[in-house]
Amino acid sequence: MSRQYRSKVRIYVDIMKAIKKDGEAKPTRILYSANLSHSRLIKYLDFLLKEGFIREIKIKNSKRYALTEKGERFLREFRVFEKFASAFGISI
Amino acid sequence: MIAELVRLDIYTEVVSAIICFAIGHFSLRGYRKTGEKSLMYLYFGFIGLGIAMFFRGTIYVFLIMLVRQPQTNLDAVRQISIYSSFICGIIKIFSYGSMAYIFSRQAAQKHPYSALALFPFIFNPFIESISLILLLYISVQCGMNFLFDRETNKLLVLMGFVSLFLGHLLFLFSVAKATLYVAGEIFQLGGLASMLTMTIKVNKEVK
Repeated sequence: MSRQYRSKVRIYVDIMKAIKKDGEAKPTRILYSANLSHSRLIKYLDFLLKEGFIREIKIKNSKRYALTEKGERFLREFRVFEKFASAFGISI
Repeated sequence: MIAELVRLDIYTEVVSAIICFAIGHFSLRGYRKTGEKSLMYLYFGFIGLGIAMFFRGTIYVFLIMLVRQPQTNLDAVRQISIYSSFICGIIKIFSYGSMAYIFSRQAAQKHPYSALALFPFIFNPFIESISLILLLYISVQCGMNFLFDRETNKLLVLMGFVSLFLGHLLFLFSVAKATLYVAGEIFQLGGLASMLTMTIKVNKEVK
């Protein structure tokens, strides 16, 4: 079976879904769930932070990430269009 | 009876066009949100269909108004009818072509009686045949999508394209029997309504 190409938006969504799953998530957890390398994850997390889709929570020496209201809304809207596209046989 | 059918035809074309614009607009929103190019082609497809239907409806009204004028040159009316029908047909082919392209792309990755009597070339059989082939291809792809994943939304899209296919088939045969034209319009409207239902359903499911 051929490996399917993941678009940038798909990767952002996978990261946000991984965060949403636990409410708050550590980078290692996101890394495994979204299936990304550490360097790529940092790059994507920076973008999501800058755009206000996620926020950083610092507890002692560890970092955790949580979705913002903007991130929650984006995920909801993405799911609507994902279902719409899927009805036409289009996978996002 | 004839006047009612003329009116029905104009209404169904305009309502179908509005449905196409609504689905097209939703596809564009999806493209902007997700960046998925297939949604952009879907947008082109539905907007093109909407423009073709709206154009046809408008031309219809214009021609009917012309015919009612006592000094109208019927030959000129016939010419306008032929050319406008040709333009609509070409736009429809591009629209269905755009939709058919989505499926090939995905696979690679994975008239009323009086008008018919007056305007004998309101439908160009050659263009209708091309539309039919493209719609048949799209319907088969949708059927396969549904067979792989038996989901209601996919069934609604399948029903939509099959109805559009049947509608065009009836348009093609309406040259022989005018009642088939009205049936074709109803199938076309039903097909688009089915896809609109899916769009509304998807929105409700997630919210």
